[in-house]
Amino acid sequence: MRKLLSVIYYEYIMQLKRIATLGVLACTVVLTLLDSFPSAKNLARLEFLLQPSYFIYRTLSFGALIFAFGLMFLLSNRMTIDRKTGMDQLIMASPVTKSQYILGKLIGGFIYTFTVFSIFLTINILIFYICVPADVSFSECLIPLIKALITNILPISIFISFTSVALPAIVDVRLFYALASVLFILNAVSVDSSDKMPFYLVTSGDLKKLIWLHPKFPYINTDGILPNLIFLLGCGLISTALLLLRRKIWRNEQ
Amino acid sequence: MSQVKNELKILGINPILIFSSIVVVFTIIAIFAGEMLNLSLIGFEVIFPFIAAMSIGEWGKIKADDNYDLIAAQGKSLFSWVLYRSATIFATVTLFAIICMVIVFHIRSEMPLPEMIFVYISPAFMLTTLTVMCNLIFTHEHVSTLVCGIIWLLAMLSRSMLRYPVVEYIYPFIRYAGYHDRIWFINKTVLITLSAVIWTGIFAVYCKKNR
Repeated sequence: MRKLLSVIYYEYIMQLKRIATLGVLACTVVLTLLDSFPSAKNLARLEFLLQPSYFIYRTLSFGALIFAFGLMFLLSNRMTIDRKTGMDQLIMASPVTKSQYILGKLIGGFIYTFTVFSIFLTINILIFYICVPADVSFSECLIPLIKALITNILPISIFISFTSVALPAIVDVRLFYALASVLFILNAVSVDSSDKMPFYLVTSGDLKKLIWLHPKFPYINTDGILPNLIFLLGCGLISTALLLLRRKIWRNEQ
Repeated sequence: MSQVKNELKILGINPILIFSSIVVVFTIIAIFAGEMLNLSLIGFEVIFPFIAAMSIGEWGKIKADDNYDLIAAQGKSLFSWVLYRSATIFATVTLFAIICMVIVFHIRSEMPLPEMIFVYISPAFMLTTLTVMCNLIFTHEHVSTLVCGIIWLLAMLSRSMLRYPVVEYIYPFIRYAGYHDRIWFINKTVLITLSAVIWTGIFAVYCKKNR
């Protein structure tokens, strides 16, 4: 257990200290605020922008999608870089098992993704809270933030981190990028609707409706929530299983 | 010609397999996707240009190439290396894009083939030019693809920016955004011109430099 925790810890710290993480975070915060900063023009354009829950809902569709896309690239070389730099040989020479190594990489990647996603949403909602020209209490901002972190960011983080770490170690990273780009473009072209949304959406799926509902359609279409959740968690877990089953990855099984 | 052959050898079989699988996916989508999807526009104005940019970012590495120092030390001009490598990859992707276009045209007949090629070329040329620029700047792998990927996704998500007057002339996916009048033709010409200007800049900087 201590070895697994060590792998998780170092993976997490290594990822968090990357300058590219800060770059992607800063870039997406700026883009999100360009889209939905509570300025007079944006308030005139977006009817419900004074509501913190709508702000988070919109952030999930726009900024969070770009952020998830960026994180996918940052995480995609976590296994391959060890092979390239020869680090995997050093790790294999130490008393670490295959499952400890793989789970350490995956869980470290997951905690990293969840952390930076939480920072991303927190920065956005703090700026919103400070700048919104209306009487909005702190709890009104905090409650949708916590809801978003539990109901959306948690499954999204599992999906992004597990697939991005595991799949490029199994298939060519360019094939992974091509498939991911199709998925993200489907997410980008999907239009919000009160009806059931496609289950394969990453940040714009029906899970998002747990945070904010349009006043004209004040009911949750629960049919789409479970498939969306199963898709996000299922893809993450299947990727993990595929990686654990891959024989070539470890010393005794080559 | 020998340089192109060398680049094709370096590329290997992987891109051919990946692009072939994309052709299969496009064929399946063209057959089974409903009439609500305009595959000719989303496929060739949006998806294939990114595949071209991603391919140049991943297979056309310059500063991130492990042999960069070796090649730079032996060559007189970095530009010819950049040009041959990028052009070879771009031509390979374009060949597969045209195969997909022919298939989609025969199955769905959504728009004429020359128009599909024109719709594809300008965003592909622009995104790949940006990727080449990133390849010349960044020394880490995947960063070029990351930068171009974010620009690509951002452009898709910022269709609302088209409400500003000048944006319609530089927005890369103008046909997909629903512009069918003569603006889209000007837009495509502007994108190609901008990309040509960037290539001229790359030539001016790197024609006599080996690193």
